[in-house]
Amino acid sequence: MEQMRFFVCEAWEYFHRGRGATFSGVLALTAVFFLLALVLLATHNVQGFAARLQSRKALSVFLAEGAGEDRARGLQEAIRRFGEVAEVKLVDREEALAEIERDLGGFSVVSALGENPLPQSLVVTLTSSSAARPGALQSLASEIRSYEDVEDVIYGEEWVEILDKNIRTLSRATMAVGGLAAVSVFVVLLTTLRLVFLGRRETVRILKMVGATDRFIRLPFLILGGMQSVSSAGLALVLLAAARAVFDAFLPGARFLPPSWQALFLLGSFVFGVLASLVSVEPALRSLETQREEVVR
Amino acid sequence: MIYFDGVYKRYAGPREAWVLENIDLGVDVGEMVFLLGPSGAGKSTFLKLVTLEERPSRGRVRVQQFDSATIRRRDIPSLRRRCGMVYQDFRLIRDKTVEENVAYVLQMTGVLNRDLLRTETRRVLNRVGLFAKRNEFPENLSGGEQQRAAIARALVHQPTIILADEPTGNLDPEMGAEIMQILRHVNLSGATVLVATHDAELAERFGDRLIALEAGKLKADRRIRRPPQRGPED
Repeated sequence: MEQMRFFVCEAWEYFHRGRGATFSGVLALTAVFFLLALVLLATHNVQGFAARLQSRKALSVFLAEGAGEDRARGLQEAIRRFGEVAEVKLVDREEALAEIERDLGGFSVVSALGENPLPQSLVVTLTSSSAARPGALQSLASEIRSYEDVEDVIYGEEWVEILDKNIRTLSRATMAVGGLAAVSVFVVLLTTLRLVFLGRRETVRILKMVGATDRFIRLPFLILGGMQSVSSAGLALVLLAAARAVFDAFLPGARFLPPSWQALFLLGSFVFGVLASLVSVEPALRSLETQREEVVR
Repeated sequence: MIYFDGVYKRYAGPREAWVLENIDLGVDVGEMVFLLGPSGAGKSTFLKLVTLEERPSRGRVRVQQFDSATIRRRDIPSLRRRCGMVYQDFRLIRDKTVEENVAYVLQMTGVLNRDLLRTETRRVLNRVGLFAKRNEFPENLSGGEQQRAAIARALVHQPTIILADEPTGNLDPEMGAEIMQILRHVNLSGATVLVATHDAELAERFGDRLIALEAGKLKADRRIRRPPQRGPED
């Protein structure tokens, strides 16, 4: 514990004493983290929007003529057992007829045809995770079709395919932009930390000469990387929160990053900073080693 | 304690000449040895070989249980902690105070208890007469004071070997003699001291043994006086 406190104090000293490099590094990092946070915000809202659309995915199952209410209830029970299914609603023939007649402006279908022509039907809605999975609706439809007494299953095939395709494209686009932003964060972190290391090269050289282990030299830099990264990510979140009013004006109904996402963002940035520091410091440390000279045989 | 067995050294690069050539010698516990020679004689390289800052091109260097031929990279810090290094250009960390510079070596060895750090650091600063300047940064000290701070740093973890590379090179003769006096006291308290210098007069005055190097070759190895009886640390 005491050792960790010592290394944290050392890292803070590097942070504090390298004011110029630290400040410009934090600024540059805040900019790229802000971009990354924007991507996260977009992803979060796209996911929400997609979930809302996908929740409208439903199957209408029409039963064969002659399948009575008992058979309809039996099928309702069987379909309810599928893992993908959230709810199965039995649509009463009389209710359906009344609805159609209402839509037709009070025209009596029964008077015209002599009987209620509508079959028993079921409306099946999916769980949110299944609704989000492309192809889930199609495969469930084909399974239900194989049941005896099922005449037809319809679900707006074309609409569902377009929706799935667009959501896939949108997700890939946000992932690509997010990946680019993450790479930028890493590059800026590497450059910043390399500059800090170069600024302390002489100290590191002295430390190596008096017997410091690589771990002793490396640890404050790793902590510094994490500190710089997490403080920049925090600033980026503050900026994002400040810009919320703008988002609300342009995108009413848009949701801000939930606390769990913010916490993950900060934690991830710390890990990212430590990793970048490791990648940056390790070769620099090695380069301070004595160059291997020619061994004469 | 320190053995050079047929050591040759040359650096990678266009210059083909040996910096050290066929050095065979040993330094015993408690000796105060001066490496004498003009610039380029190989004195600094000799000291760098002891701490394995450089590796021999041929032959081997043995320091206590460490052997240049077999030592693993991760054991080199351990070897260096057995040595205290003093340089002509002091090599103090500029943004740490004198006390922090000295304490850093202890912290490096795992001593993190504040009271122990303070006690040990102040003990050694007293010993080199720099206690009053403990809160100063190196840039505010004279050359002699910086060298005394560097000596305090070299002594604080009680190494068994002290290596000094031209420790009086940047100092006036009076201050140089004072620094040598401190090193002599360190030697009298039991440490083996190796000093690289081109100042023959200082070497004659303070050394037990003189090793003369010229163009990388051993020219003379002369004992001036018997090494002192080892006494308790003062």
